[in-house]
Amino acid sequence: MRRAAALASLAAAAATAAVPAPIERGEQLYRSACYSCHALEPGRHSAAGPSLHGIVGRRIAAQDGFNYSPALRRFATRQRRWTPALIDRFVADPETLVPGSEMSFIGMSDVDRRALVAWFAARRGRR
Amino acid sequence: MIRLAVTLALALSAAAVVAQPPAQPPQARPPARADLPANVRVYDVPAGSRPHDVAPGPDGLIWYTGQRRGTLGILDPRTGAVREVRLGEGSAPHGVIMGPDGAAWITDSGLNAIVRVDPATDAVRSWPLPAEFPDSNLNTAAFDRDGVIWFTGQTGVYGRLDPRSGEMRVWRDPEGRGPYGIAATPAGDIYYVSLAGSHLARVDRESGAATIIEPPTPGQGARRVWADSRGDLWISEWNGGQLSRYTPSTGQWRSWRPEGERPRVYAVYVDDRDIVWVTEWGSNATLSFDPASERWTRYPGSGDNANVRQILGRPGQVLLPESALDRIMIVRTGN
Repeated sequence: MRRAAALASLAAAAATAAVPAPIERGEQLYRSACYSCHALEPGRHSAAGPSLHGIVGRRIAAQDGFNYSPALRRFATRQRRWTPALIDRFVADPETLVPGSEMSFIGMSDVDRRALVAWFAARRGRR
Repeated sequence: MIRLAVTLALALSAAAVVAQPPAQPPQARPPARADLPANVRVYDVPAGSRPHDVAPGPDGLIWYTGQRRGTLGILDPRTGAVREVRLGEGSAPHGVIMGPDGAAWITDSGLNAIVRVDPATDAVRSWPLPAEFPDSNLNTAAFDRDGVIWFTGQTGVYGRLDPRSGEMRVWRDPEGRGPYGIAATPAGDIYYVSLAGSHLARVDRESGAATIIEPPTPGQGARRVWADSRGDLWISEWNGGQLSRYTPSTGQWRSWRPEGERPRVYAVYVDDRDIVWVTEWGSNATLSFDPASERWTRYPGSGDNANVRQILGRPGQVLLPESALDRIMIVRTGN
């Protein structure tokens, strides 16, 4: 029993060492999954997607200068702001949460989404 | 610092209470609409596949990338049977084409590698990108006339792999993020387009240098590119909502806009008769365009929001992956 507990503890320690801290992982995930279409600077929208500056708590589909899909505009009449929980659901599967969404995205694991949302939240208020 | 920690803790707890699976369980798929044109057939692929790109395979088979399942799907349209080849842990394949060797060549954004699947043995071989180009968000590939495969990565890169030597080189797009569709002309020249960068680029196959060619419509969001038999380039403009043609010999551009309030032109392909095909998300349809008559023909999606992200074909067939419906649509073109 004691040996099993020790092994479990070792395994947990090894896993902790192998996985980057969530906040660092979040930035890494942004670079790999979001950066292609989304900048972080205020108002710097691309043809592919709006800036994600201040995304946590931001009003949905309300950035000047970006042409949001009709589907996301309709969604914004029911859900006003991007809460962490809502971002999590959208990143999990945009087409399921917002049918007709124009965001091309494959989705992300539970752990990765948590890290990504935490990183967005930590950036809140940055200029 | 304390405020940051509190914000982070709040965000973590808020996210943690959301019970969300990594990939949502596949939902029951609605039946295909009953009024599809007579020359159209649709085939189901495994639920949750999200077929992104499609390509003609050997012996009438059809390959597709099962982006959410990390697979190369192989559909036999004679029977509707589907077989899957797993591409490896972490795979998220985007594009697939047939190489001059008859194999399936895949741009795998999950593996950050070019992947080959042997059509006879299903053997999978990968060529990862160099370490200095991690998480390149690999997109699409095309072979040049020398059998070298060229590819794009949406984080702002393009590159080449010589399958004979295994040598790979990668360069950065001069304007940064966005390289998306890529195509070879009949002469074997390589062009790609940038979605976020809204440009066309010609690649010097010797030096690897990319020359930017700015389309006349600013911010048009050029998503994919294809060449016709004369070497003219056809470009699908997502934001611009139009189909454009660039003639390299003259530098001239011309554009056509599909009907509708807010067309969003995603994919483009030119078939063996020089008929141009585009997918238009605003009206959930695929459109064929005859450059001679300038007339459009419409093929509706087999269900709502079909989300066809790419088109490819062979004489007599145009293949359409309906990514959001987990279906492959085939349009017979009468050859």
